[in-house]
Amino acid sequence: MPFVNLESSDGDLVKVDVDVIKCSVTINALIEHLGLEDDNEVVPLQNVGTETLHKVLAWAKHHKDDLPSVDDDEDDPPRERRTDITTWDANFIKMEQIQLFDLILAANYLDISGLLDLGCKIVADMIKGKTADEIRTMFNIVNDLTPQEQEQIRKENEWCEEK
Amino acid sequence: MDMDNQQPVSGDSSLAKRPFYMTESKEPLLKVQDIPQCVTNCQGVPPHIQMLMSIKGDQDFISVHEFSARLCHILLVETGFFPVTGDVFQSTGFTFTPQALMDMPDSLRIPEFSRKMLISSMFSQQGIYALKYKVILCELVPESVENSGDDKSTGESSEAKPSESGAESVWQYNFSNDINVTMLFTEDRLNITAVCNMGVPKRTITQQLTLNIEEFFTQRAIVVPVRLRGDQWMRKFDINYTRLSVYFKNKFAIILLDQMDGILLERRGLFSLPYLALIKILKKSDVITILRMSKTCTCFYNIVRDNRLWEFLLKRDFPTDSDQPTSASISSRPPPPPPPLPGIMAPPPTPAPRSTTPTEPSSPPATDNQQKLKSDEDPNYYEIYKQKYASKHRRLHRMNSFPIRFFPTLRINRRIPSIPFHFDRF
Repeated sequence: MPFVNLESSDGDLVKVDVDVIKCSVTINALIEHLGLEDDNEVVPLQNVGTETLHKVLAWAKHHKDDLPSVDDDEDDPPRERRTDITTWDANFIKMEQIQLFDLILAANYLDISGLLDLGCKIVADMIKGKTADEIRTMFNIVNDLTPQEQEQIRKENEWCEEK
Repeated sequence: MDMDNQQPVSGDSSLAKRPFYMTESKEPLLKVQDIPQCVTNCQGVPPHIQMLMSIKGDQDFISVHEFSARLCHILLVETGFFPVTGDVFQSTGFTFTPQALMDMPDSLRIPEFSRKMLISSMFSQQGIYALKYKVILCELVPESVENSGDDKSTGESSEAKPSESGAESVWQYNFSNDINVTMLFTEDRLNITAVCNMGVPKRTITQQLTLNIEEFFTQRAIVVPVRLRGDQWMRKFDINYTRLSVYFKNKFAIILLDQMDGILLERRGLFSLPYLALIKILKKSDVITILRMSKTCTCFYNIVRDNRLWEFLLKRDFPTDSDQPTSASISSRPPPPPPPLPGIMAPPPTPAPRSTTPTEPSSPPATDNQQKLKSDEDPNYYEIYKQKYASKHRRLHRMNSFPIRFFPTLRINRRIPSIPFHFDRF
């Protein structure tokens, strides 16, 4: 079985089964284009730390037999939305906010749509039902709006926001 | 390396537990009675801060003033200020382009640049610290011959390549002029003043802050020695770094940056995510949440006004009747959404790679020109959504306000309130 070595930004080498990492479009394309002559090929991943890489690989390993997921939000949202998160995924994603964001960044960089979807779904759940102030505190967003602008936005949003 | 490495390593590395930004520092575990031993570690504090504090200057020991000045310096770097030192900004050219600095992950940028300043020019002269910084400005420059001359006076480096389209405006990343930050100690207060002469339009920006470092102690240190090594200070003081960081940034660094229209580089929290992921998150939220997000800050306001987002939402929330969106209701072409608010996080021209849909400009409307172009190509999905939403809720409202609803008997029950109860009694 072919293997590929991934080098994290911390300089650690991780040997991975190609079959596991095939969910990553980035690495797949890399392997296809460059070919894998021997097992000592090293793919440097400058944007992914060791800890995050292990997380990604754990996810990839668990989902390696999944059907190739269809990117569920490109232009054509499916009628029934996949809102369910499996128990494994739910346990997997239990982590600190920083780690979660690192994971999303890595998923984006490696182009793993399933993992990216999962991460974004979790963040969306975190946001849900919060007031603007709570969101700011939670995600370190600096309020740079002047009172006038806030009033303007409030008026613009009136069509939806509950009175 | 063998297969075992594929197994997830969950929560074993203590290094990962350490915070990265000063704001995220945990409350120090230090107790006052521990101080004489100076034994506790600085686990709650980002490693690079600890490292910075142990950098020696002329002497081994630094004063409490220098200690707090160093902290302020780190906070400035975190926010997006770049120290002007020999090897970052050489007199001839730049080691870094603005673009390169913006792409640099925080984990490299912050330790790197906070260290540079310390080595070269941190040390005070008679209690006054005079530091120089630059920030990155994102300027919308009309692409024309006269203005290219002006640009050079604003900042020394320009990122945008002149485009063929003559009269169009382009975003350019430039370095600002030098910002002179002076830190002066009067007794126990640290007075910080920043002055910057802006190029276009010509103006001088001043920002001041008075800081009493002792206000940020979680517990008063009993003895304040005159000089200690930096890392000893960290152990000596129970400083609430989070509070200090938030205070300093909100009262000084971010306001200054905002006045200059500089780019906030701190990518903590949601903004560490790429544009694509942010849109994805919004796509998985309901409309009320999305609109609430737009109230949080300028950047999200602009993201939420992305026409493609509303195109998606329209299809998601009104699947049946949105199949032919360009029908009569749209032909009247509703007014375009209000122009994006200016702000420190104004999205750059190409916020993130969006490989999936190369056909449409991905950023929210940035200029009037672009906006006009867009509304010519695409209907304004935001307005359509609004109309659909309103009509749906009008329908719901009409249903709800219909006098006789699902249980007409309720009206009788109301007149004779507790019939079942009486029956029960008997």
